[in-house]
Amino acid sequence: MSSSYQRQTAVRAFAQEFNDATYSFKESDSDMAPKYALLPTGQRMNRGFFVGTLTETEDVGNDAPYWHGRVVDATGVFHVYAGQYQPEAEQMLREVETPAFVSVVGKPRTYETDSGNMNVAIRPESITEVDVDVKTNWVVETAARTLDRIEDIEEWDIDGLDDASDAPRDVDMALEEYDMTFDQYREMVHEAVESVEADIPE
Amino acid sequence: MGADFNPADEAERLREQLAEQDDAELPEEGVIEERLNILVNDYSVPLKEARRSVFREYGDENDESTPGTGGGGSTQVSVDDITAPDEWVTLEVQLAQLWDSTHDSIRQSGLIGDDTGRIKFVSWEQSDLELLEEGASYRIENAVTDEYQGRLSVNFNSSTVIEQIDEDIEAHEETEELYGAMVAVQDGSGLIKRCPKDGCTRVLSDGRCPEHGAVDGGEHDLRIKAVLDDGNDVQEVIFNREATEDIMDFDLDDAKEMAQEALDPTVVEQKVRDELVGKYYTVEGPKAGRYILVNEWGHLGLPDMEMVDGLLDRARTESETEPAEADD
Repeated sequence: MSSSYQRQTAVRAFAQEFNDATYSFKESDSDMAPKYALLPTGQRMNRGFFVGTLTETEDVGNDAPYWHGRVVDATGVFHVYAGQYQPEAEQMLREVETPAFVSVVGKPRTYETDSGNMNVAIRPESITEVDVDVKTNWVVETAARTLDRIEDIEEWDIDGLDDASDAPRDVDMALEEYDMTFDQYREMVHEAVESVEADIPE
Repeated sequence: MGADFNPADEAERLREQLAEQDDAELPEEGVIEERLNILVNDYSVPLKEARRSVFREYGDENDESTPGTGGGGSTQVSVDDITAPDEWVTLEVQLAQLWDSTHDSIRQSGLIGDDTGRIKFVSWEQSDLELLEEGASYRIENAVTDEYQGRLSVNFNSSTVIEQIDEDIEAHEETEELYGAMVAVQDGSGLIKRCPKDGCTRVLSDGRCPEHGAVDGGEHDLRIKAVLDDGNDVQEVIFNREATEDIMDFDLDDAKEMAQEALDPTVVEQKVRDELVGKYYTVEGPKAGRYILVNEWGHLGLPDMEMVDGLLDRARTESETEPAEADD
């Protein structure tokens, strides 16, 4: 790793929005170029930080072990897959007792299912068992980051304005690639925040 | 330096100024220009200091005046009183940090400070001043303030008088505070070995020092290099031995034992990674290059109800926030 290497920020997104992020892209054809999933609220994601409840783990590999974990937040399910190239994460999924709160640092990967749908999953760099406070903090932080994005992109999503090419690139791309209403993501954030209200001290 | 540096013009101006001094020995044509060129272009010496250097070399030894200053009149000031270049000052400071010399013309440089702040200092090789020690306190008379790329500094010159003092001065430390999820613990964390050569503390990799090559032995140390990420920015942080022992439940001796038992020093790094990654922390400490050196750390506290209510308000859709009076 050279000193000019700029580490990618771990973007925060709830499961519902993450699973909608089926459009992915690269900035160049080079093998080394980072790959991004595009969130519908107009933010590229090369790496994410996710927290939820690990409810199930299963070895879905054919020859070599390949572990699948379901990490549930208040809005949906993150699918995490770890194989031989993620030995620590794979070992964690193999050994952990569910249910457990976990945090996951990892990269989004889009793939096409047999039925032709695009799915989004996480290739983990690390999976850690955490306590409920980490989950509460993550939900509140992710709500704030998501609302920042919604408020930004709504500025550009105006009826009759069919060209948002002056908008930030990720916003422009999101408006182009997705046909979403941002109200559904506002509702998603509302639900997520309500789900942790009971964990906040008076 | 800067785009407006024209060595020929500067040299001409200096020649004229030197010619006004009674005892000055004027060098041959071109010598001043070449010297300025070397100092400014080859050694990145600020132009003001380069002029001073030429003046000291060829000017009247008894004439303390240098271009841009009135000479004399040095008043004792605090570090945060320094707001402009070209002032003669006297300071009582602690030498907070010594930096590795970047070129031959600099004898010592680093940070000095008192309880009001810190400032860069430069002691030029040519001024032949005594070597100062990190951590010690000094009274520094007749130093000259300077400004380079908008940053103020203090230059010691041949008329500067430095005296170590008994009074213990604490250099004020500017610290940064931030929070984030620890998203990575980098290689080279945990139990490390440092180069045993005099004054070298570089971290050995497979028994090799980047400066001295293969070395025998080496001093064990603990540290953590990690990445904090708040979703908007990433910040690299370093825990030294003390901070590492504080955040982990083992000390250096325990770490050595663990490594011996496993016949592998990287078990300590893995333990650090397992314990810290994926959780939220707050850290506080001074910034050094691209790192924050962690003095204080804590777990991130829970948000309060006010914050949560604020988010719930923000999340409401437009239709929900329409004024209620429409119903009346």
